[in-house]
Amino acid sequence: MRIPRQTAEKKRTSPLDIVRVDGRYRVGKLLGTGASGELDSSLMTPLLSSSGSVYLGKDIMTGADVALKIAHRSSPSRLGHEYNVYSTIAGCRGICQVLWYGKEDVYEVIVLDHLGTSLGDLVDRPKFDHRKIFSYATQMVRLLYKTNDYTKHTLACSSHQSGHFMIDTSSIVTSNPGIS
Amino acid sequence: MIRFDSLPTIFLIDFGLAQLFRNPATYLHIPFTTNHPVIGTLPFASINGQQGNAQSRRDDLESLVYTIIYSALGDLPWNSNVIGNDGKAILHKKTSITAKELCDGLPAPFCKFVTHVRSLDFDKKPDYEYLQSILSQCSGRTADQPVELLPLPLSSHVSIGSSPGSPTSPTFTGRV
Repeated sequence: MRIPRQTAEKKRTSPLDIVRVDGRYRVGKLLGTGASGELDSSLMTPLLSSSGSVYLGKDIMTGADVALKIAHRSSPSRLGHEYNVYSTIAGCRGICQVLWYGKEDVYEVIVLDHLGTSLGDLVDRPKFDHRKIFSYATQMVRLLYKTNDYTKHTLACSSHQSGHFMIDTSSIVTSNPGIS
Repeated sequence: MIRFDSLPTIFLIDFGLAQLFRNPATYLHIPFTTNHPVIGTLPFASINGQQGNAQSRRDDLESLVYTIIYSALGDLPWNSNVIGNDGKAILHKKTSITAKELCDGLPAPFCKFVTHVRSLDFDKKPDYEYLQSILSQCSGRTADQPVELLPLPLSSHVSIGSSPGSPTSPTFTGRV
């Protein structure tokens, strides 16, 4: 009788086990997950998403917060595709910067600027003036225009929602560097 | 209250499902196809997307319409206990609701925004400038005017949580 051989290497169970991504970005708490089937059956569950969980991270060289989008390499992931998209539309105002993309251990990781709160979270705040959304929406249309039609960009973003618009709270007090 | 010189920058994230809608070299639009998997978050998915049809620029704007309505009213007409997470019921509500009903409780010009988005053909370029001018009318300000962001005065607080379809929910007065 053949006895199944035990795997010698202990299987990692969480991206939190990664010591550091690229030797530089420490993985912190889970901010959200877009993977299908991992959430309950509430209305907000994505039916199919880019698969990957987003973690808060820290750049140990600068101390800055970053966002880490992490997917296991064994699962079909669209992180490589997403990295290509970010590269294509880099430099537009309202598109965050990719700090690093690559493989770390058994994971595929995109390191992005850490932004503020999402529009979805902002509007849930009791004191949010909901009329403000129309001021914001002008920028949102411009963002879609830029990703859709700006020079050679020809992307349809496909089913975005309030969680996909982020408010950069840091830009409230400082002007935005390096953007058009 | 702190006043700021300009609005904060809004960022668009999560491009994992983004795809080309035309050839970058020839600008030839992708053909209309069907039987695609339903992607995205159901309440915000466009009618086309939910029907499994190929998506294009108009679907981005349709999802934006739902995002704006959800952000402004705190709810969408198809977010109810009766409909639940039933895709067919959500789709039926989306297809049967008129632009006027959809914009109930929102500034009046926004109805034109919805009408334009709904009128777009699969390969038609949306009139982004027209849409932005409508939004300027809705917000009652020009793009260069200063606007306060946080914290907000209590007097400007708008109560939410009531049904968007309710005639007794005067959420917005709307300035035309």
